[in-house]
Amino acid sequence: MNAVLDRFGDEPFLKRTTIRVRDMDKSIAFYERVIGMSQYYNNEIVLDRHFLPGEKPGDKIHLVIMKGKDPTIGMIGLLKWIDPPQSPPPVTYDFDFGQPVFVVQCPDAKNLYENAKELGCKIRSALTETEYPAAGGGTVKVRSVGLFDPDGHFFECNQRL
Amino acid sequence: MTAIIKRTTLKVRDMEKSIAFYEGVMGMSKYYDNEITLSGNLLPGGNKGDVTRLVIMKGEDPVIGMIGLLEWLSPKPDAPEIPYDFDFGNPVFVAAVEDAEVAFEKAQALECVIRAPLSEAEYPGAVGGVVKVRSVGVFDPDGHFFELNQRLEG
Repeated sequence: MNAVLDRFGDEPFLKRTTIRVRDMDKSIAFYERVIGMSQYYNNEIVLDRHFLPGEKPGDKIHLVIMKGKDPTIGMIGLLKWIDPPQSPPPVTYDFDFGQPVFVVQCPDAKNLYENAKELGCKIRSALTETEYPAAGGGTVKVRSVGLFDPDGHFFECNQRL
Repeated sequence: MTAIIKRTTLKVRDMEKSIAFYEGVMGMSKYYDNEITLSGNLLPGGNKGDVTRLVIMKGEDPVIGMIGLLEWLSPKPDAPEIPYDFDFGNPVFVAAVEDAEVAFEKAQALECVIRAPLSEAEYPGAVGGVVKVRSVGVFDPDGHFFELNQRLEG
């Protein structure tokens, strides 16, 4: 077992969530400037084993993996089909079956909100404050911003108060 | 400023089936289980007064890499047919497993939809060289795709 698996024991652990993107540079700008992540991986890959749903042998993709503070988990994969080129549908800006919502803890929601506005992100909900039932009883107070990445994935960004 | 992606939340059709998958295949445990009435302000697709059940499943790390399972209790939504696809807007979860064969057997025991049984592949590594993996591709009960990779030496 290697050092990473030593850290997590023998259970599976989620390393990253990968999403399909329309414009790689726009997506990288969002994850760097709004979420504060950095590039961990950047390669072109030719698919050849009928693994990923929707792939055909010989398809070529561009995969960029963005990492946060943790070097192993909580990463985001950005995947753009290069060949054959894709015709993406319009962005829906919704949360329905099959779509993820990313829940983010941030040190300063106002600062994140300003960064998102500067980048021209679509904002669903400007700064609000609310309380939720906490995992161990009591309540959790948060200041939140709700916004979308360039492909319409929703981000709930919470600053603990 | 670095934010932390704590969890990815998914809309589920049947909470108990979903919990069984995340416990039985992913080895996660329940971290949070509450009913929440939505304010209607934050979450897309939610209206003020909607009642949801949120279950958060956690792995070994107590802060990040969690999965939120969200079921609408009231009003009950009409769930579309599951497409079992990876299209724009859909996530793919990439997980590390110690033994891909064991993960495959657990998924089969739970009657998961299997996209790709055991296979081996090589990818370019993050810092050069190649990474060899043995992998299984499975769907959770709502059609979210999981790539379960066992690192091989080499």
